[in-house]
Amino acid sequence: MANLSSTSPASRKIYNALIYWAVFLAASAPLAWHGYKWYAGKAKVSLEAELIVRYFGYFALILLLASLTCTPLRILFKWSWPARVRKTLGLFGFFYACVHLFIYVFYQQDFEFKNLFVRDEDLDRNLYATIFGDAWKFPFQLFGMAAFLLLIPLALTSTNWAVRKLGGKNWQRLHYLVYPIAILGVVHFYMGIKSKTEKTPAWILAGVLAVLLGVRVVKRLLPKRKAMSALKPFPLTPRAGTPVGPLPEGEGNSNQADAASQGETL
Amino acid sequence: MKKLPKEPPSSEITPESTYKRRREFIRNAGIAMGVAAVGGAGAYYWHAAAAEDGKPPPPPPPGAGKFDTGEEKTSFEDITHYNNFYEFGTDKTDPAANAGTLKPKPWTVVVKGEVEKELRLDFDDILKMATPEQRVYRMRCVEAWSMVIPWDGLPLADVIKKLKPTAKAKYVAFKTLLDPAQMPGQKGTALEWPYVEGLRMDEAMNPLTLLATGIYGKPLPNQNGAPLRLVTPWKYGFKGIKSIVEINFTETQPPTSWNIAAPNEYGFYANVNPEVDHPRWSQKTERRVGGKRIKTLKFNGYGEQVAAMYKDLDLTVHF
Repeated sequence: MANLSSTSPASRKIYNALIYWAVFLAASAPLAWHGYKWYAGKAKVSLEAELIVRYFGYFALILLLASLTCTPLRILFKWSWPARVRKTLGLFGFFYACVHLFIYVFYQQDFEFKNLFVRDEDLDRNLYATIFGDAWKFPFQLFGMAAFLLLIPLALTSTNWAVRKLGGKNWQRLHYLVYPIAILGVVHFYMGIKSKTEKTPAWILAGVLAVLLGVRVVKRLLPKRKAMSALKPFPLTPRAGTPVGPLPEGEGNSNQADAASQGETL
Repeated sequence: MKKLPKEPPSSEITPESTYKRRREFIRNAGIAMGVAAVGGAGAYYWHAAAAEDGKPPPPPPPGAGKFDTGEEKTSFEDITHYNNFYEFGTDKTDPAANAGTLKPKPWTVVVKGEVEKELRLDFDDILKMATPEQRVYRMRCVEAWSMVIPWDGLPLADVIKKLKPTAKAKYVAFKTLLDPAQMPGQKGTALEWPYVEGLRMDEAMNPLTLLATGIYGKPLPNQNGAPLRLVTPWKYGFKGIKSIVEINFTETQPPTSWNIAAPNEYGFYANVNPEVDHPRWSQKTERRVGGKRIKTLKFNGYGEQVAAMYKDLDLTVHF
C-alpha cells in the first residue's frame, strides 16, 4: 500500500478517488443525519441543541486530530495515502466547528434567524457583544473561540491558489497554527466536561494529541541522515539543499499543498 | 580556515517589494493588534454594562396561591421529557426513555439523625403529615434554562415539624435511592452515588420549600423524581433532589453531590444569582423552555421570601 510507484497511474487515480470519497462520506454522515432529522421535524431542535452542539464540537475535534495523523502515518509507516485526505479532514473539521459555533449562537437567540441581526430589547444586549464578551470572561469559551478564529485563516488558505500566492514556506508556517489550535480544542473539550469523574475521554484525546505532536518532535530531533533515509521510498522527495517550490502537477501529486509539505524536512 | 556559513537557498530571499514595505508591515501589524485588543475590551465592557435587573415576574392570577407565579406554565410534555436525572442517563431525553425501571411503589423513607425518634415511613405516612397544596413555581437550572412547573406537594416545614428534630439539628440532608438495577445510570461514573443534597434548617423551614409528590395534578412521573422530590425554587434545580429515601437531620453542613463532582462550579447554597457567573458561562440570562431567552432574576424572583436568610452571607463566596 505504501509504495505507490509500482502501481499504474489509472489504478492510482481510482484508489485516490475511493479514499477521498470514503472520507468525504464518513465525515458528512453526522451532519446529514442531524440535518435530515431537523428537516423532517423528527428532532425538536430546541431540546436537542445542546446535544448537537456537544456532538458536533466533539466531531470537529476528532476530524482535526485525524488530519494531524496524516504526517505521523507517513513518518512511521511510510503511508502516503493519508496525506491526500489531510485537507479534506481539516476542512470538514473546520466546517463542523462552524456549525458547532453557529448552533450555539443560534441557541442563544431562540433559534430565530431575525434575532441574529437585531439588538434584543428585552434582554438589553447585542448578541455578538455578548458572545465575544463572554468568551473574554470565561476561559472555557475563550479557548474554543480562539481555536475557531485561528482556524479561519487556515481554512481560507487551503486551496492551491493560496499556496501559490503565499509561497510554500509561508503557507507551511501559517498552517503550523494547527498545533496550537488542536491544543486549544482539546483543552476546551476537557473544560466542557461537567463532572470531574467523566474527564477520561478528554485525557484520551490529550494523549492522542501528545503522540501526534511527539512524533513530529522526535523526527525533528533525529539527525538529518536518518530522516532522509526514512523518506527514501518517496519518488518525489527533493534532496537536502534543493529549493522547495511548487512541484508540477502529475502522478502521485493530488495537490500542491501536500507536495509543499512533503518537501519540508519536519 | 574558518568555514563560511552555508548560504540560504534562493527561495528564502525576501522579495524586494516586501522588503521595501517592511516598516509599513510592522506598523500595520501593530495597528491590527491594537484594534483587536480595543475591540475585545469594548465588547466585554459593552456586554457588562448592558446587564441590569430584570423586570419582576407577573403576580399570581386571582384565586391562585400567594407564592404562585402568573407566568405561562411549561407544557407537561416538556416538563416530563427534558430532564437532568443522571441515574437514568446524561442526555436530556434519557430519563423519559429509561426511567421505566424505577418502582415508586412501595416506597420507604428513613428519618434519622438529630430527631427524637428514628422512623421508617411509608410514602402514604408522609402524605398524611401535611395538607397537600399546589404551587406554580419557576425552576431555574444551573445550565441556564428554566421552566414554570405546577407542583403538587407538601410544605416541607409542616413535614419537618411532624418529624420532631432536636435542637442540635442545624441542617437537613437528603439521599436518593441507590439501586443500579432500578437506576441503570448508577452503574456509570457520571456522579458519585447515591445522589445527596442538603439544606440549612431555615431554608428547609421556609414557606416556599416543598416536598413534591406530583405535577399538574398527576403523580410525579418517574423521570421527575417519583414518588417524592425536593423543590426549592430560589435555588438552582440540582438542589431539587429526586426519589428521596432518606431524611437525615445533621449538626454540620452535609455533602452535596454536585459540589463533590465540581466544587469550583457548584456550591452548597446554589442560590439563583445573575451577579455570580458560573465559571464557564454567564448566569445573566436563561432560556425558558418552550419560550424565549429572558433575564435571570436574583433568587429566581423569590427574593421577597428568601433574601433575608442570606443578608450576612457573601454570595460570591458562598455560591
